[in-house]
Amino acid sequence: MAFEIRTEYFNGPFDLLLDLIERRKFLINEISLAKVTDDFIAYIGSQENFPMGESARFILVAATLVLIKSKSLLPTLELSSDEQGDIKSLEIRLAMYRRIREAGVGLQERYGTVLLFAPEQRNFVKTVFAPGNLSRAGIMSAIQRVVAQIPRVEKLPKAVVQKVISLETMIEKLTKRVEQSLKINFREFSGRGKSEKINVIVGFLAMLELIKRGIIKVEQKTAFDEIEMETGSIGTPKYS
Amino acid sequence: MPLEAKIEAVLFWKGEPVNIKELAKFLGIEKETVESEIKGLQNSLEGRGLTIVQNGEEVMLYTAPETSELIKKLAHEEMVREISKAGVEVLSLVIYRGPIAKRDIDYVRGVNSSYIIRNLMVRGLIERLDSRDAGSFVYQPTFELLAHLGVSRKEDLPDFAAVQKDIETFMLNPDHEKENNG
Repeated sequence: MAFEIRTEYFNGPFDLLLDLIERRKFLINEISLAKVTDDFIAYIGSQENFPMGESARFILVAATLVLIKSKSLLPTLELSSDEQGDIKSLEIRLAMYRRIREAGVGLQERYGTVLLFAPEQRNFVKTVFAPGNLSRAGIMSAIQRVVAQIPRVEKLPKAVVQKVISLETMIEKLTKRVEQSLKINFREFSGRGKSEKINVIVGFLAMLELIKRGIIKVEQKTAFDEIEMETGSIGTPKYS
Repeated sequence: MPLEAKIEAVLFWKGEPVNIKELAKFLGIEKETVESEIKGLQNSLEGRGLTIVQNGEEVMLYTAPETSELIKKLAHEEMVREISKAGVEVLSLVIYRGPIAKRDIDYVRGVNSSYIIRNLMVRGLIERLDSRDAGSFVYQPTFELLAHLGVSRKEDLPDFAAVQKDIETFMLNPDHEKENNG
């Protein structure tokens, strides 16, 4: 209910008056205004919370309405020219207000159905520096020079490492050999000089693995000297 | 190059409201010539994807009403179509009588419209001009309002001439001035 009062307050006395007239399908004239006077006054009476400024507007309209009604009941009533002006003015303003209200209905129906769009807002980057000698031919030769200077990607040959012998096999082999001779040097074991280089590498890795597992001990007296390998205790690897 | 094409180029590049006077000054031609060229351009754009929206002394390129559905899909426009009854009344006064002073809006509505005017301004549907003639602020529709009504000019609204003429007649009522001074 509070909301309704607020709405009426915004819409004012003309809105109320026009509603009362249109509800009864009347035209706007003195006769119809005289007939809705009681309803209009009754409405104001029912509203307790009118702000002062707004209630004055309603009361002003109500006063004119009472004048119209009195005239309709007492045709002999003499009205001053001011009073007659007030009555005429109310009729005209009401008619004008109705025209606007009608036009508004058309706008409301139309609003948002067909839209025109402005260009989308973008953050344009403004070109602040463009050399004067910039031409299509110039750009073309420039890009060609740049292309010419791009370093060629050289293809590095890739060597595929063949699986010659697996680490496990080598470890087995090494364990066996160490077990057999208890002391062997790496050159002998890997067959360095006799077998392929890759076997020597795998052999070396196998030796390192055995050291890690604590199966063998190795010793190299000086750099590039023979690597002596020897078993500690076969079968009981130490994990220290 | 035809003037029409030059104007089209400027409007496209600007992408914002362009004052007709400034356009005339820039192109070194009469304002009246610009106005007639704009009409010519509007005719040339018939059936194309663009249209010119004219709001008072300013013009701007917009997408054509026929492309509304298409561009709507791209724009994901958040449409709030709700406008209060009072708001619609103020809008129609601003459209049919604009530029219009607040006191004239109040006069027709018979009620103080400050709150509604402020609300419509915040929504970008009407704008305030400092009018020297009226000696006070006057309100006129924004480009956005015209765009949301889908018209190139407010004069293209249905019944525009009829509604304007009626209100004009009412406004000429001598009583108007008396009320305003009160």
